[in-house]
Amino acid sequence: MDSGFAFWLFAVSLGASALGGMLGMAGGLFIVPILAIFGHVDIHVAIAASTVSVIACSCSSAAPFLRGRLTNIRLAITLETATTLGALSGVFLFGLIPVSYLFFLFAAILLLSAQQMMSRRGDPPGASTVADTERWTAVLRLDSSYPERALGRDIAYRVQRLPMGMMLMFGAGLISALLGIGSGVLKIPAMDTALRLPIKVSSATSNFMICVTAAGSAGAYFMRGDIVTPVAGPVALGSVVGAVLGARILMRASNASVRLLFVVVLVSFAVQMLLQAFGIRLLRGSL
Amino acid sequence: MNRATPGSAQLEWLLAGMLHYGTSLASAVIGLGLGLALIDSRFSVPKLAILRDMRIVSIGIALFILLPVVRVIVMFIVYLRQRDYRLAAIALLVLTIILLGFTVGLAGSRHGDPPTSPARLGAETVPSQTMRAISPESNSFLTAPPHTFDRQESFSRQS
Repeated sequence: MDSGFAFWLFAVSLGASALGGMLGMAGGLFIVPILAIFGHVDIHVAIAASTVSVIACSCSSAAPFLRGRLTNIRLAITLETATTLGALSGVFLFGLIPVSYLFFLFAAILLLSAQQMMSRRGDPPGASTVADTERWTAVLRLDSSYPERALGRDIAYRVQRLPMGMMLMFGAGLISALLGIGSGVLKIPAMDTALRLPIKVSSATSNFMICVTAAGSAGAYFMRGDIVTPVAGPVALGSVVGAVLGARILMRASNASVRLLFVVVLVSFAVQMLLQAFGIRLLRGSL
Repeated sequence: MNRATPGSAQLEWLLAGMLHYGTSLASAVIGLGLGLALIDSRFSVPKLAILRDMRIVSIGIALFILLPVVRVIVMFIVYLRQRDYRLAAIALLVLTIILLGFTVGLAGSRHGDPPTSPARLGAETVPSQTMRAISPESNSFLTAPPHTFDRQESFSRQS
């Protein structure tokens, strides 16, 4: 192999992961389209490689959130039953879904992410105002508190509508395995509309869960031989370095113009993926 | 902290440290393998050396995949020792599902499979399964004739 391609993979993953990290998103959302469209890597190979990088990013960025007591690990492990089950279902579907459908699905997720990026997130209404603890939440003791620096004290919050949250998490796990992304785009609605967590807690907890969810599918892909080492190696390494860099820049660059740039990139990737979906079909027809 | 058990913060620090050092270790192993491959491909050493380097990279990738598994095992043990049996059971369930994934992958393994293995049938990919890794536009992976092409070998083919 020429080392040029490995360098390219490394650099692209580094950039994607750093940019993603700046806005608190996983780089997988960018890595798969770039590899598939510009790198001409087979989409299955791109997705499997991206799954490894998703694990790498999630693991490497989890520590500060944990030490800051923002992560609700009890809730995370509970929701992980749903996300890993979803991931397992995704593994079954992975080889069965036609490639063009994968491109379509990816385009849809990209557009959804663009839309989410436009609407700024805040603490969901009704967060920590409900008086009584719900049954499942009480049984598992999921309610907790987190330190709010601005107020200088701990804020208690409650976990609401766990069953609905679990169902949404199953979907997030499925998409995550199928497309090789962290699928924060689906976890955010689950965290906000169902569980109604404070934004800091939901970001930290969803990031903490991503690595276990991705491990559910990555393990299967690894054993099945879907993970191509010369592609996945540089991508994983680049993602870790990028995530570290992205977290450093985060403080300085999360303004509206960066956001807009992201939306433009996401939409253009979505269009490319849609074209690819049609292109592949046309190609198939001519063969 | 209203409801947290006394050992809870301790668990968070334990997990944070584990994930931090685990990531560093796995990244270092991948970096080592890629670095060696880079050097070896420069000096056109026998293919075997680069295969070895790629194996090191594979080990690094495996470490990354195992890291979350270890995290769940650690959580299981800690909850068990705290006599928090419900959470321990949940951790065990998550662990079982992940390990089930490994088994599913192993069952669908393509080692020695015919090109049209069940896992691939619906994918309607390019005719030659072995050529799938990279499409014709990037020639570096495709200089080998299809029947001798090995995924790991690709590193040895210099442009």
